[in-house]
Amino acid sequence: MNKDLEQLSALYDGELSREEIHEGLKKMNEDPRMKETFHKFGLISELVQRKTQKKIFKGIIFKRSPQQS
Amino acid sequence: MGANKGDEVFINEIKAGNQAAFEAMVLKYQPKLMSSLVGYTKSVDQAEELCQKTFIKVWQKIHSFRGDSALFTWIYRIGINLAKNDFASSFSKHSKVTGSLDQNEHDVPEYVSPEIQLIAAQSEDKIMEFIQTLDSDTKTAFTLREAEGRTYDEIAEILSCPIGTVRSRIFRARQLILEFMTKENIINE
Repeated sequence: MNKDLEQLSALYDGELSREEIHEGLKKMNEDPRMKETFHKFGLISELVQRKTQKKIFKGIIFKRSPQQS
Repeated sequence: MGANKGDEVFINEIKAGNQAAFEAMVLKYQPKLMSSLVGYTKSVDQAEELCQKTFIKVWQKIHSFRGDSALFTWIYRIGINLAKNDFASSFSKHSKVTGSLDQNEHDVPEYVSPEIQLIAAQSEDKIMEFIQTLDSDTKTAFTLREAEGRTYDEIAEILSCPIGTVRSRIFRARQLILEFMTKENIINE
């Protein structure tokens, strides 16, 4: 199962060969739990990317503030 | 910035009519689109509706996507344009739908319950703190992928390790985060 989930994680990142992609999509289609896990990978991505962007944005403001004052 | 390697996989398959690839693409980008649309509309209900409409339009227009921008950028533009149209029509007495979206042409899959379409704001910091506790190798590979959008090849080069190791470290990070989220009742098992 872990092997399938690791493949799912690589599918999420688009890091599989064409054959593996078809295999991964087929497994996802057959197993709703894999679909749900794939979606949860998306939730994690969304959160990490948004939080990281916020940090960068705050950093930019912090750097500018002393020059503006 | 054009379509990245990960997106190309989905785009080519969807253009070839692979519905499973379309469903995977929806599952992948739905959280990101929902987050953007909630931010724009300030309404979860409206964002959900727009999200559905957006993916219907994506399915209808995917053949016109040339890869000049990242796939999500293109999806985001469609979503925001639909939101703008909705916003404009709500101020119009003649609020007739301008572009018809044939719901029957392609149904957007709905496997995901609304409550887990986005992570609750109060849980976000907990998850980010948990990520900081991951072992250094796992955290670095995961961060290079998720925060910086690096490919496995690039990460392998940066970390001087085989691609297989990168793949397993990124998966390990996701697995541990999901376990943490389940333990903390942020998501159901």
